[in-house]
Amino acid sequence: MKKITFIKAFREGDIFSKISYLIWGLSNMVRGQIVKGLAFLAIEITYIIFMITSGVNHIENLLTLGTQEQGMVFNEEIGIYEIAQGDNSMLFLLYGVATIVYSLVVIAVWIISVGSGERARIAKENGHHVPGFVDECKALLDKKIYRTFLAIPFVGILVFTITPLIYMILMAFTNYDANHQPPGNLFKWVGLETFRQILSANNNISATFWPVLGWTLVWGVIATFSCYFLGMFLAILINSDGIRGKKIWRTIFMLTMAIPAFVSLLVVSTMLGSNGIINVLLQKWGFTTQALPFLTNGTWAKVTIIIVNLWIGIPATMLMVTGILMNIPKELYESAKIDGAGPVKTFTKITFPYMLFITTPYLITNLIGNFNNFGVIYFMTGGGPSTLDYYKGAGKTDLLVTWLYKLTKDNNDFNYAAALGIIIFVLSATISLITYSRSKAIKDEEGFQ
Amino acid sequence: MNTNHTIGMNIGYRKGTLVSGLLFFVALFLPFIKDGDHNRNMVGLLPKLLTADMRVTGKILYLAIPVLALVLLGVGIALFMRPSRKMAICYSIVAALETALTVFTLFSSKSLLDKAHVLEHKFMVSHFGFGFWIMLVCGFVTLFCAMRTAKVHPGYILLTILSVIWLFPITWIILTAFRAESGYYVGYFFPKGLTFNNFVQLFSDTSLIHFGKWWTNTLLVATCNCILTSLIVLMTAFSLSKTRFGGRMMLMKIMLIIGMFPGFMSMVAVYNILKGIGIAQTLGALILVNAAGAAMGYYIVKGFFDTIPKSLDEAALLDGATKWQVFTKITIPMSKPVIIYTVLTSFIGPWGDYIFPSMMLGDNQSQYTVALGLNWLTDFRRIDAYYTQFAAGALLISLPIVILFVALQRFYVEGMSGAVKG
Amino acid sequence: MRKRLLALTMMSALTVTAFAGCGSDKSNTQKPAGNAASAENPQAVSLKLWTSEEDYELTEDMCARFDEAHPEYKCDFEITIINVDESVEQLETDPDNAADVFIMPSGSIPQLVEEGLVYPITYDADTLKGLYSEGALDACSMNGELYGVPFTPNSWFMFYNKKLFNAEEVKSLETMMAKDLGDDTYNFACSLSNSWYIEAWFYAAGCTLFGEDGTTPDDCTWNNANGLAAGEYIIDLVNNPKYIEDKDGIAGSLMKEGKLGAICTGTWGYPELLEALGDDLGAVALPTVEIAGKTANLSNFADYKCFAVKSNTSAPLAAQQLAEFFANEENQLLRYQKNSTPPTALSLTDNADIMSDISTCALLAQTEFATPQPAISQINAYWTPAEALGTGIVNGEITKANLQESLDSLVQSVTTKAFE
Repeated sequence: MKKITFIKAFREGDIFSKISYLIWGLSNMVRGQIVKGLAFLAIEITYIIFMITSGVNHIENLLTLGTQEQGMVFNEEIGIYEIAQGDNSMLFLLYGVATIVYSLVVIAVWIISVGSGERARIAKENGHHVPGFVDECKALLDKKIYRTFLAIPFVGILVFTITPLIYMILMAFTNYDANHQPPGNLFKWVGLETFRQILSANNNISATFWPVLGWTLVWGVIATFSCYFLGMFLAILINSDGIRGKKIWRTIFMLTMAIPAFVSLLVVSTMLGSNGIINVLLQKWGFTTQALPFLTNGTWAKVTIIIVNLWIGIPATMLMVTGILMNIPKELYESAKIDGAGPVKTFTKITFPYMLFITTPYLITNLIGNFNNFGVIYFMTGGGPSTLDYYKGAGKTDLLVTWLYKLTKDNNDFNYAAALGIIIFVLSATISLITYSRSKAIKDEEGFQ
Repeated sequence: MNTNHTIGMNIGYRKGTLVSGLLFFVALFLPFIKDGDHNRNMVGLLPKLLTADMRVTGKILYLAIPVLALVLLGVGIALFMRPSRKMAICYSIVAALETALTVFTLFSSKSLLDKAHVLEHKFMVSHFGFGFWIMLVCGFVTLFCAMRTAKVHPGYILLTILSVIWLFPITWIILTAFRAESGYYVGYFFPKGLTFNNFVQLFSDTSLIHFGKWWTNTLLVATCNCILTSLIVLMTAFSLSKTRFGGRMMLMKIMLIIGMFPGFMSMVAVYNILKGIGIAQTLGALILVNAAGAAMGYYIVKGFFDTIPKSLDEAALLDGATKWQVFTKITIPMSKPVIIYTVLTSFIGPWGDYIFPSMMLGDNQSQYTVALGLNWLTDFRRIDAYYTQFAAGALLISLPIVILFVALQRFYVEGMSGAVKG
Repeated sequence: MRKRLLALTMMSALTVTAFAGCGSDKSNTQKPAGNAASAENPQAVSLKLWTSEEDYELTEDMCARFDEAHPEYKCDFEITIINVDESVEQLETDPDNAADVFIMPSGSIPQLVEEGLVYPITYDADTLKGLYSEGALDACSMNGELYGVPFTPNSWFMFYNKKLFNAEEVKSLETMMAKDLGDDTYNFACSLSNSWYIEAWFYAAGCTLFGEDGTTPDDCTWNNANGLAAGEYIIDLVNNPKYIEDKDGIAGSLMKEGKLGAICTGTWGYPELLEALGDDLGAVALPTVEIAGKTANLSNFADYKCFAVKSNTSAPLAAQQLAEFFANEENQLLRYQKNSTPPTALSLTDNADIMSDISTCALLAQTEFATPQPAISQINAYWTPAEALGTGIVNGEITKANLQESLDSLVQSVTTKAFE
């Protein structure tokens, strides 16, 4: 079938096709696809009505983010103030974004309607059967099943992921911070000012950003690779020939995965507190005379968190590696054995390269996951210990993502939080881009051999 | 003649066994502990210990170490002279016992020695002499070599140690759940009294703890989430793996990119959208939003679907099957592990999910899930009073999940490995 | 200056509203409830309330009585448990779903006023002025307007174990710390890593936060010589093995076991302590400390719990009446009888029953020495740096060597708005 483009359809189409740029679905209706045509028309009409009644207003408000502040008027008669609600910049921003997303969807429908009408015209002109409503419905369970299957996810992601995301991204370009809180205050567009504040070196917030970024990177790399290698080691150990009761061992380690993370983390953090059971026991056993600052000293806390993360992370890697180990062709090992290779050599020559080849994508997702590892930090230390060097309440073990959470939840600095979110995204995207392209190169090489 | 007995043995290691066993014995005469200003060795310490006012078990512990060291040495020599598998296993058992005793000494010396006032000063671990540390190391080396000789995998040693570490916090939760004394900080590991009251209170003390309500709420969310998410994920993965359409790659790339934004960055906006729809602060909102984002997790299932041979589909299509039939008759039946994996993870998710419900449900306490409720109990104002109930609640939600996990372990492993291959 | 500013804003708002009124259809001035309502023609009012868990049943009862007392309304109440320290955050998260009448600490009023989230309480204002102490009303006011009705002091003082200290010893912290109470018994516990506690030492040393009267946003003297002395005093205190930092309820547990001489906490800790210690429990105002040669009482923030009304309530008049009703004398007495919540009503200060309660007495005694919490929104910038200071000292990261530096950076964070 020839490809139909939006502009080409206008050039080649007949008069109905041309009119259907304005009256959507006309071209379909003329060729007998009544229901489809009416559906397109209905979408157009709803959109126009929406735009006239409120849409235009929303777009306008998006540009100004509100002009009228909340005010009060005293009512002598009953002796109380009456509050005149002002504009709410936050809602203006949200409605504006929603309107734009809606418009984009409608534009997409427009393009589709034109293509659909044109296809119907061509079919009719060539004397082919123009698929009716029933035919098209049948196709939705066959050739075009992806449309049926993807419809719900598409709408869901559009409404609950993309729209909020655009909203938050835009927030980074406003001054929606603690001093500009709706509904009492308006906030406005400030361009790249927020990013300048975060990245330039002369204020409290960038003095927080760079160390937090550094710790995020260090944490991500150490947490990922420590769990990866130790988990692999554990899996290989349990899987080795002489070990009996494999299932029991695996179950023991899996218990930490099965218990909800927030429970185990909360419990572990209470155990590590200065009066927690671990400190109590250490003193009872005579290892130390006073409580060790597991979570209260910056450096100690960082090490502690990495170790506790092993407790949770190793089992996950172990399970995954177990699955892969089962898939490594047995012949490889047998031939290695005949060649007289020891366990170390087998590992470095067969197991590890195979594993690395297969798990690179997993490693990358894991690395990014660890940059955003909210739970471990939040439930273990809450980002603490807090320090005077950092901006409002950020602490020594805060990752970018937990700091982001604090900025929205405790400090109401939404613009900084949004900017941090964008920075986290750029970081993750860069890393995955680099590693993916490199791992692709590895895969191609593998193909040659 | 030797060959008969040494079948299933690794004779090379018996030398190491003997040497470390000997060293262990020698260490009995090296400085064991600092007592006041001078060091005492194990042999010198014994008379003082045995006459001290100490519990019998303690005396047995300290007496057993040198006795076992002698046995160890004896068996070691015997093993060296006439190696046999039986002897090696016997030796391993003695070595394991000796090592366990030494480790136990490390942890219990303070309470034993201080209570009996054996030493001039209060005991600290740093008061152990190098003799003790040699014993500790030699214990492990002997055990390792002995197991090697008997061709028993020495990995058991490491696995045992790791298991103890892994189970330590879990044991703590379990013990706390049954602890009769309330309170957050207690200065001992084993509770002084055991009780079921904590569990009873979870369901009877309904003025504050609506555990039953939280539990049914979570069950509802988990069940809906499990059904909806599994369906959506399967459909998305099928579309992206088994059908070809324009913009397919683009769609996958967009999902990848969106996935890189930190999720709860936009929770405030999600909340406001839900408010616009009119279902904010309800369980329905929780279910809806979970389902809406479910497709983003298609990756693992797609990886699995990709491994199902294409030729099967093509054959079916040639026979006149529709794609829908391919989906229901071929793909689904062949993907049992990954489906169970998806169902399992999406069912478990809501039980531990805290941040998202906390943002969504706000002050609507009748809609709280278990995670929110339990976390609410550990608020600093309440934690001291409710810590044992918290542990009991934690145990109650973990138990079914653990059972599910253990029962479906195989599928979990297979499902996950399918994912990685993607 | 600030007042004039407010007047200006209001004036401009007035004009804008007037214009909006004639120009567009967006006149969203809310018609206050109550005008037309009368007993014959009751007006339907639905009010959502936030209260603490211990007051829940009491609140239900009070609501019923309010309904009876106001035949002009047909009230529909919804009561949810949101505690005094959670309400501000909940309100900020979603003002639309927030309670119409809620409990909050008076210290958060400036912040909420700035954000436009609370309603000025003016209904029957003259009566209110005669009901409560001036200190309580001041704490709930900003720029001359009352934003909350105070119902109990929200402050901390000291409980002690009479077996370990006598009434004379607890008057001075130095005396308390000097006494030997035995091996595993601590003398004194406080939460110095909490910014709501640490200020007591600095105020005692004569330092000021936001100027003498707490209204100058760029003034904080915690880094002068007195502040340094206060900081050093705290460092010495924390390093004293007889002091224990109260975290996650550890001090409460120790106190109940009789292993702690004195604990700094508020009336909320009273019932449990009383149950454990009985007649051995004593309560007093905070002790004196000697800092830089001067002896003064520890002076914490004077804060009150109050009932406030959210700004976008649909029934402002009824909500204000209800807030005032909740905090009136009769209901304060009820709250005292049920939960021993100390009252703020002036008329209750000579109630013999209340005055025989040791925790109430101690709390009221401490209000003498307390410093009004600065009623400006800059106080928001205080909490986290002060917490960081306390945490740093408790964890041993801030020592006498870097104390001056830390105080300097604290003052800088506290006094500057993060970005201009």
